[in-house]
Amino acid sequence: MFERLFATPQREYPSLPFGLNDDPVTRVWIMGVGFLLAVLVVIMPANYFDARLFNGISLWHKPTKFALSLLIHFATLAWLAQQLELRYRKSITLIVVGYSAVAAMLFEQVYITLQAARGRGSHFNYSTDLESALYGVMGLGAILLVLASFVLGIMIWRKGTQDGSGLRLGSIVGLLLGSVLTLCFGIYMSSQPSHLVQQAGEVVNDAGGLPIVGWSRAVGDLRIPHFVATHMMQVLPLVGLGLDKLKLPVRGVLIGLALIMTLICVVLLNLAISGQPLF
Amino acid sequence: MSSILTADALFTVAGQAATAGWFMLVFLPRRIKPLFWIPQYLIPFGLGLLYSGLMLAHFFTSDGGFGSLAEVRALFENEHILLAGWVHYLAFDLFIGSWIAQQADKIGMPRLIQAVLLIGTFMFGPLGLVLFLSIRSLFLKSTGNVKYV
Repeated sequence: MFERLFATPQREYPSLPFGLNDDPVTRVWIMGVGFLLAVLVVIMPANYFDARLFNGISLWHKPTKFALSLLIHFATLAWLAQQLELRYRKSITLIVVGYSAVAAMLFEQVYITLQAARGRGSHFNYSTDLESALYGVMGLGAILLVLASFVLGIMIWRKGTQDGSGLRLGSIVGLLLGSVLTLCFGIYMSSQPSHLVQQAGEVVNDAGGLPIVGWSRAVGDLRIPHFVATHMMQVLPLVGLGLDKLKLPVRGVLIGLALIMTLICVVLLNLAISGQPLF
Repeated sequence: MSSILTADALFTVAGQAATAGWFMLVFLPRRIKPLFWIPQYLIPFGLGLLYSGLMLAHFFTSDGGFGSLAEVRALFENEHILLAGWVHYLAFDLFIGSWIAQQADKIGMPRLIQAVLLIGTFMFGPLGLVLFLSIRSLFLKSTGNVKYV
């Protein structure tokens, strides 16, 4: 009843882009991708009109990077979910987890963008009661975002076609390991006062960072291990797909790569904690 | 104008009408067609009438015009024209919002994402429109229709 009442009047929609098979979860994820693309479009002109800085860099860098990385996240989810049969993509678990992740994304992206426009911080901002509460909500949102990739990994593992392909193994390992490590690094980072690790007496901001990613070239940067961990979700499935195309054995390479990337994450985390820049 | 219909009072009434329309767009089910006509036609029509009254009564007696930024500023120094300008926003934003809702339904956009776009259009009209048009561009190359599953 409730669902019928709020369903859109049409019962036929234009097909999803990129030839994706339709279902409520894939559709909401692709709409999320569209939303993030749209956010990138509307904040582009702000880069030109707005000379304000935050922590030494344009305050529009952060919403741009978040939109880009969330876009990659949801595009990955939509792409990898295609390995599941329709009845699993329609399952209540995936719908609840998938919609929660999109709700979390909408909140995070809107809040980060509005705070940027106001010239205020979003993460690590405890300056007012409201902002510290919303920073807490962002933490919950981050958990929902990786919960979706984690649950999808489990579902591909348990319910996906057992074809032994590199794409399948890469998806499972990438989604599960990527989600868990991202969550660990995220929790650690949020327990620190900033994403930058400074020695006593040092005062450094984000100015002069690496192009695009903005990692510090002066001090330790906790965002680097987080980045590597999160993008295991793309790297491993893509490598798996490549191995399939080249008809190479997948198991050893993918497990090896997963271990190496985990090791790299740990090394990068230690490097950041010690206050050393990577570049 | 009578004392009840001060510019301030009209501003409040127009704002409440528009807000009610946005509330309907965001929260109410779309399957009940007449509910949708209220924000789509009725409220923009009423706001349009208010605009017409204010503009026809005050535009030609004001010093301003549309030719330059300075003329527009002069125009908006008149309180009633300033109010008319605001009512113009309210009417057109709501009408565009209804169009967005309708088109978003056609591409099967979940109401959760529609809600964010509609609130974006409510607050910053053209920004919301650009957001929606960008999303819709993903579906320009759609090959045929699919049944809702």
